Amino acid sequence: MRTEFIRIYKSVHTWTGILSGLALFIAFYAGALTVFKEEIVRWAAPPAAIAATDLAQAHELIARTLAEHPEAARDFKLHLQPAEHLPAPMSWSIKPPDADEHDSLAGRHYLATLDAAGLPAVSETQPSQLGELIDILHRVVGLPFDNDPNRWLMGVIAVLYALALISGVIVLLPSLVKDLFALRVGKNLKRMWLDAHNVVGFISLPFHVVFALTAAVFAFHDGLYALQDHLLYDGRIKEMLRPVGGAKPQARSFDPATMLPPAELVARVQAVVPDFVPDTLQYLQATGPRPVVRVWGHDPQAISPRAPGGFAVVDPYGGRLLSTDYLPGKQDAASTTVSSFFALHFATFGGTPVRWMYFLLGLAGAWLFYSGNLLWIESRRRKQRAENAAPEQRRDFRLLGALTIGTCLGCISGISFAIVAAKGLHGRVDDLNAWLWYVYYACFFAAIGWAFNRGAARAAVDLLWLSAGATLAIPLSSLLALLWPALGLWVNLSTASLGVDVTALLGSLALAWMARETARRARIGPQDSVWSDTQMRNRDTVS
Amino acid sequence: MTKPISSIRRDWVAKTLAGLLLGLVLALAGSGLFVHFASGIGSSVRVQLAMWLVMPVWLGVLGGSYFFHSGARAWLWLGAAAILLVGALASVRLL
Amino acid sequence: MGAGLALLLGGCLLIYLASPNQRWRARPLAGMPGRTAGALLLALALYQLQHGMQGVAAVFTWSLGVMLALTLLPFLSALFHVYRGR
Repeated sequence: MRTEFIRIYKSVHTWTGILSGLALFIAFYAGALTVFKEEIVRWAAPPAAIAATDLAQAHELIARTLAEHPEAARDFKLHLQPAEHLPAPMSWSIKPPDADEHDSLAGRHYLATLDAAGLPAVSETQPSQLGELIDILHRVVGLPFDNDPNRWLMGVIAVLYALALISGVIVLLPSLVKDLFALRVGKNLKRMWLDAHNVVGFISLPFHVVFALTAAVFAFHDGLYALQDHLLYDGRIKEMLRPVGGAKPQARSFDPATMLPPAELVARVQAVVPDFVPDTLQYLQATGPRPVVRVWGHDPQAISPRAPGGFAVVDPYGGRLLSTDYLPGKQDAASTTVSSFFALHFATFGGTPVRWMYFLLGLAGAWLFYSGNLLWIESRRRKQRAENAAPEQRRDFRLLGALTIGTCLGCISGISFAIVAAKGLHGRVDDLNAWLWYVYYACFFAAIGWAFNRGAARAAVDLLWLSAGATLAIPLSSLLALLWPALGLWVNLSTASLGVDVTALLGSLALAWMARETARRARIGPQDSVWSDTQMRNRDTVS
Repeated sequence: MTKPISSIRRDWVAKTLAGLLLGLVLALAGSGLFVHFASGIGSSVRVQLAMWLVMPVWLGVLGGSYFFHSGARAWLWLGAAAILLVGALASVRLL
Repeated sequence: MGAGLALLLGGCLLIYLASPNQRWRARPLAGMPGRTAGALLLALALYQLQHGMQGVAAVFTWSLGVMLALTLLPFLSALFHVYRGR
């Protein structure tokens, strides 16, 4: 290939990378945590008597609750697997008509359970927004609202990301075979950063291609459908997209008391797919003309078509299986292809081992963007001539260095503090969900301010310690809850919740290690680097 | 001063616009051909697949557009390809 | 799934150790026991995974495992190298 083209694609890679790198860092760091969103929410969920869902009683619960609250019949859920954040077996939401389809927390939320006397006990609840906070940061490049303009911004970032991937591979091609797996740690810092960047970028390229494409589609699919509707389908797209729907339920009476018991509905689905693990029954229009139940769940052996899993559609009155179009492992080739895009983005296959792979590759992706920015700075810095004092570095390198450090470490520590705040501020403030956002953004912007104020080298050490501390506070709060119950903290003892503690502990150790290494580099690394800290150096020589 | 020997022009704006605009035309026309020829697939899934097809083609064309020797050539080749594909789509839809 | 992932890890390890850029051993493994056996183990891993798993799910799991293992190995051995050198 002509070296001229390599040079052109190097420019493409540099500029698309610099423009999208920091946004992608947030998307990948928060995205990696989103893989374990439910576990994090369970960690923070306040103690409540978890009513173990007794399927035998669930039938009573539904019938009696619907008799008192007919408005719930439009769309309610029965949770089959007890968890800290689902303290009652039955739940529903009444949403305002103008709510965004992606906003799962809009409107008012209700829980229902049977009390000791066997009567329905309905209470209004406010679900924690902690999981949504992390998810939204991930979906819209660190902005607080998941709305159309922000999604389009994310789409533009995804397009730049795709261009950076294509151009990065083209730039790498000439040295690909020779340098595969090379990670040369030594005097040449630029070499080391480049190797580290290339190892992650090239080896996990398919992973990144998946995310660039799916993120671009998730951002722009409404627009693309509208364009295609106009150009290809003569305005009939709504009709064409409507699922065939399978057979109609043969309902005779719409009295919820005559619905089949939930255990029976689950059994009918499991007779068809024994590996399928149902977790939620979603009743739609239970008293309307087309009552259906979606039996949601996962099958670790197959890909699930949507983010919450897959579902079978069952007639709640007759018990007939109406559709398996969205049932993992039961889809035809074309549907499986569409489902693959969702499964590959949302990690809905292979169970827990695959989710850990996504978590680690996601963190590696965040590292890719961080190292890309450092590489840009490192390869443009002014070299120190022997004997002379370290040269003054150009202003834009210093600023980008500070911005990179502040944004990345501000995001890490901000999320950790928000997780801790979900527990620590519970019951101490009026609007906990709003406070989670205040805590995150206060930390995020303070970190950026600190980085500009102190310069990249020193701020990197400070902020890495801050991130390590914030992340350590997660397991520490659980330990405190065990040792001093009087503090009003609590600790959840499920594997999911303890897993969050252990992971946060390991994460904080990794961050502390990075803080120590960074401090070392600031003292004894090359003096002409942005990462060198004269003051720390001088202190060393004096002592 | 010697003139650069290279005949490859950077033409950032022209190449990027060619990739963005003509890439979208190519991708949409390609998805139209898919919809036409994949008639064996149920309409709901076919419509979804056709939408998913757009981004890879569009971004692929955009990413490749810097390989043209000049912006004018990018417009010429991609434009010709677009006319060809749109023509093919129009003829299969009419026939 | 466990057996499949273990085979996969073994395959990636052999392939990494056969690379001229590996830093774990004094010299890389020869191509024959290294790369060939590594590729064989990876093929076996895929075969093992698609047993009892939906085909696409097995292929996706396999690809993720290979990407993760081959990304981590260079970093782990570089770390190991640096700490031994200090």
